[in-house]
Amino acid sequence: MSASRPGPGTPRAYHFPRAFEHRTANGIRIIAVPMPQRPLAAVQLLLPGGASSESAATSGSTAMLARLLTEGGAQHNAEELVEATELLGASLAAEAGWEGVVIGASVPATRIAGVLELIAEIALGPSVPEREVERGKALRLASIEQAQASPRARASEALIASIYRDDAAYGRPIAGTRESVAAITRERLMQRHHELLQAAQPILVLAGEFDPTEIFACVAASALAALPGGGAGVARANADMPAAPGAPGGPALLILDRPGSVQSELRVGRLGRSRLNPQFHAALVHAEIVGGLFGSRLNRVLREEKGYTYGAAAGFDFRRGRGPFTMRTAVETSVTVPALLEARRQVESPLHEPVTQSELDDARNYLRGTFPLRFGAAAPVSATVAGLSVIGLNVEELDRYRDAVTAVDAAAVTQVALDLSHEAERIVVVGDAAQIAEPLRAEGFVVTVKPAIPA
Amino acid sequence: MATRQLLAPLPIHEKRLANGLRIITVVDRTAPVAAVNIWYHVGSKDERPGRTGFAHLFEHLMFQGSENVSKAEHLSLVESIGGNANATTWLDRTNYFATVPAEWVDLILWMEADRLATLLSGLDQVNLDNQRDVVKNEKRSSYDNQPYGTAYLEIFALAYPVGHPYHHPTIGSMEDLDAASLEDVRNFFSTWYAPNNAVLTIVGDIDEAEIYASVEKYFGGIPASPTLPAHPDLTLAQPLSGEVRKTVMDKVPDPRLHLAFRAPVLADPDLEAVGIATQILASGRGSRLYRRLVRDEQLAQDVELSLLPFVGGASLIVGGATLRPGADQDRLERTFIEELERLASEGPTVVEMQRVAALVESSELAERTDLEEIADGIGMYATLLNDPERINRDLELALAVTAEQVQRAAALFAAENRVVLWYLPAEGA
Repeated sequence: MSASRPGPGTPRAYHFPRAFEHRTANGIRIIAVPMPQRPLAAVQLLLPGGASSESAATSGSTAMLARLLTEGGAQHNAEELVEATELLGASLAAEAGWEGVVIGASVPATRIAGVLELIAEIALGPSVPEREVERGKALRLASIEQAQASPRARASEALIASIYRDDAAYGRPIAGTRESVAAITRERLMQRHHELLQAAQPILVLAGEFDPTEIFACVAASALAALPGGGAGVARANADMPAAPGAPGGPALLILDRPGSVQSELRVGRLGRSRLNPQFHAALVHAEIVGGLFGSRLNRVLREEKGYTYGAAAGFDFRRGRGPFTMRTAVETSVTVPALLEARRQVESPLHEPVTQSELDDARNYLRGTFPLRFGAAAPVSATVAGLSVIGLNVEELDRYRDAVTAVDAAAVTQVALDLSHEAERIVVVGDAAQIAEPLRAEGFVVTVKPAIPA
Repeated sequence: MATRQLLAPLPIHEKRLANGLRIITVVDRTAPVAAVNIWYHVGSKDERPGRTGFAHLFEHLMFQGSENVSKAEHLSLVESIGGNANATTWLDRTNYFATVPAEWVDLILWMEADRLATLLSGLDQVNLDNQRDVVKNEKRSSYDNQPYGTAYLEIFALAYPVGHPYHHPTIGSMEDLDAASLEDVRNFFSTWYAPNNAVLTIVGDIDEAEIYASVEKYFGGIPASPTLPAHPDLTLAQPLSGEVRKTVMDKVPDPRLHLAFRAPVLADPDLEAVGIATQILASGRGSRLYRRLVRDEQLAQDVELSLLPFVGGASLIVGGATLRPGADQDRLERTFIEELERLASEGPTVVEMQRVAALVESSELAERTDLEEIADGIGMYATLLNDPERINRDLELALAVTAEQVQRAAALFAAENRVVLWYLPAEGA
């Protein structure tokens, strides 16, 4: 066996596929991304105005509307819609995001015209049957129960809620709370639909093996051409207002008690940063080094050195507003205290131990090298383009991605850690309080215990 | 089903080194990347009594260093060149895979060869203890501490008799994991990890002549194992012979029904129709079970049914449905099974066959854009069926299934071939 490691061969050029833009007569923005040899195309219609504009009382109504869009429109009821979709070899789904509702389809490129008609039908005139509203509410309430019973989901949800103010949308589950979902009515959903159509310019993104000129003509000839071209724009709520800092004293820690748990789910979080922050790429590199890579500081210590966990990760959730920064791991109950202390230490470590050149190189190479791996199929290409477009970023953002990552230096990474350290720290543990509460108090945490599943 | 224009076949080329290593290549220049995938024909079925979970624990140790790669360096090295890597262990096999910028393929081949040639030189008690802890936490995270997380373990134990190589779970038991020793690791490695028990598949923006030269250079000197053992006998002496039932009281929010049925093995041509049957029954919102259980009668929150193919004894069809709060448990089970039996008595409709054909075709198009899936599919067919070209017939075989064959396949859902497992909320949990 040769001891000398092979180096790289000749690097091949990579460019994000080129995008072509067009505006229909009524003002819909179309972005077409031709991808040769990608016969399975992706289509996404994005209606701006998502869950970030909801209040506590209306929380979840956008997600519920999205779920009900595929229950049929003027020409097809739910079952006929599924049948028509599947006969095209397509799949059709609608989903609410913080910034908009996306109706998306994957379809053989030769049958895009057929799927555009179905998308137009449910975007313009969803039937939203009363019976399906009730069924959708019941299923969402059941899934809230399921999430409460899952240590993973329960811990994440409680952490997010603790980071934001009660009236900030980002602090709530995007699909709504028990109270807000119970209050949903058909009238409310139809109102929400009306708002979406009137709010702002819709964006249609298509990717796959096609000629963009033909695609523009195909859209113009479809029922989508009747979609309103957009109105006054989306009203922006303070979706990302942080919660008030905690009382002085030791770090506050919430235990959600789950008696008999063999593991503790640990979460540490802070208010993160916006996708629009010009230091976005520095934050990506920071997150890889702290808790993204297999060789990240967190995973290296908690898993590979200590064996506390199957894995530990941390990172930002980038949105238009300031999404959360979270650290996530699950550890054996008996090591809860040392694992939590170690996890917090590693998350903050770039402040005290600046990132090394080799950490920097690894993270930047990883982000650069895996970029093309993410865009092999049409669906991630169209989803990424749509996601950037709705928050006002251009496709050029993807062209400059690899250079921007290369330009991140150690000072920029330290700055990300410093900014983060100025936000209040939140800690949630889902586990067996009888075993972990006292040891955590002894370590100086100000512990509150609540049942994981409310009575 | 109607004849359609099928996909162009993948250009599959194959060579074999003198030591028995099979090398399979496919050139695909759609992106400057390459997928490297290696299948070893060893899985949890090959574990000894008292050492369940060992094949998977061993897989972890393959990332803990070898002569020229230090502890835990493997994955970091792959990340540092802009790639991803991982591995999985299952009943019949273990696979290791990496996807990297194409100019780095040689490094991955070298790393795979280094651990196959010299793994034991990196092995020590500290690494074994560390990965034992990691794996035990994997078991806690993925099974023990999750609602319904242990259902799969129960299903296998009920569907295959005690002593059968598929009876015990791949994740193993805590006691057996604790018992694993360095000696076990050495024995397992020298028994199973040999070039003549491996298939190496490389797909992507590659030069095949260069690949063959590199593989010869890095792997050529690794000796074949002269004593590769036979895999254990997987024959099932008895059919299930009557419905097998069990109820587990656990920390779960709602009752959940799990079902399993034995099915033909991977090599059996009848398995194709079983796959189509599960799609008609449970794939998507147009499927029979979703429509009846979730939409029309509102008995369930969700429903699933899928096929797990295995090489010997029997494959498994597994399914499940979570009870809608307030709905009747018996009625959910009865209605679920009624739909399965209705497919056996009435067969699928013409429209159902058309829809499933269109969906199969789309999913095949999707798989063809994923180098990792192509490499893994070829590795599977080469390892388990000795037929790498089979991937090029997948679509044709699926589209050739007739409504009559689907109806006949649904006979597997009969009571005498059925495992019924309920998870119920325990009092006070």
